[in-house]
Amino acid sequence: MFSPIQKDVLIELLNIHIGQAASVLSEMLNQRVILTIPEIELITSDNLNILEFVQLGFSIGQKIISSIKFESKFEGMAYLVFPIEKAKSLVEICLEKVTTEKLDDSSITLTDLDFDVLKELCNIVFNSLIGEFGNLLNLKIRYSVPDINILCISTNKNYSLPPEINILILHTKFLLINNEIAATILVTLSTNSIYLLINKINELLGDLL
Amino acid sequence: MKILVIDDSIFMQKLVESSLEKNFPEVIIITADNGEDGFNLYQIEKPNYIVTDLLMPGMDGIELVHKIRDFDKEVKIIVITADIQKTVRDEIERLQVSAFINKPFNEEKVIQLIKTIRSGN
Repeated sequence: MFSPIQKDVLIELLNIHIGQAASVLSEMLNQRVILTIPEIELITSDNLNILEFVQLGFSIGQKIISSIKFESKFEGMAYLVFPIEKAKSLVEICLEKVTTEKLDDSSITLTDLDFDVLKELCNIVFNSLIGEFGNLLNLKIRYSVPDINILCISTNKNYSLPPEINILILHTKFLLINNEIAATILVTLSTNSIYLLINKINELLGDLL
Repeated sequence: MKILVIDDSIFMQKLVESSLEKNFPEVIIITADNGEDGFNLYQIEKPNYIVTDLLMPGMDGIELVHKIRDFDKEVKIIVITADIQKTVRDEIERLQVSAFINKPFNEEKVIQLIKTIRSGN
């Protein structure tokens, strides 16, 4: 769907949006957040099993998954996935608690307040990422209230995605002072949304094309 | 002074409440976690300020601000939101809000909120 140069521009735009997400995370956590440059893939699902991406970020274990639906002429869903043991650390930073306890997947329990804080954090990241598309396309994007759950990824399950949708997958790492958080962001977009993006990218490329 | 804080996140409610109480010891704070309850409380409590999020279940903050302004052109409204879209900011600012503050609600944003209230804007 994207030519090589269009994909280049898209990656550049996503880098900027992710950078802004890191900036707001830094404000929320009150510490420097360094973001690794995301590996970006653009695929079209066809009953794709998401475990095919296991080695790229969806490792086995419990994850926090937050999702938000966005609509207008630019529509789709965004998902943010990260390990559950990192979730507790993030909450403690937000609430300015200190812990020396080393947490593993099996010992994590999250309270309602923890989920509330995480939902707020994910919402801020989603708005940074998707909202910038709204600004880029000069559209007003409407959001659903974000959802947050625990997802258990195991080798026994098949995580199929709906067919005929377009998916941007961004694997990135947020580096905090004492913590590295590997997060995966998926953005599913309708075909019309992809064409809106392509048209905008062509406009940006102008005479270069 | 009475301030109505509307946000579906208890964490955010507590953050805003705490910053207001530290700076205005005499303040009375009422909270709601959605637009509909927020509107009902606005009608009952007649607050001096309304501090509201935009993205909430049921009646969202944009609808809430429109509805309040249909009734009352004077009550002071401050929006605190994660929404960074210019189109949204423009729409809300046309409703004569006192401030449009982007989350996260860090120290700088606390100062912005407090200054807005102190200036009586």
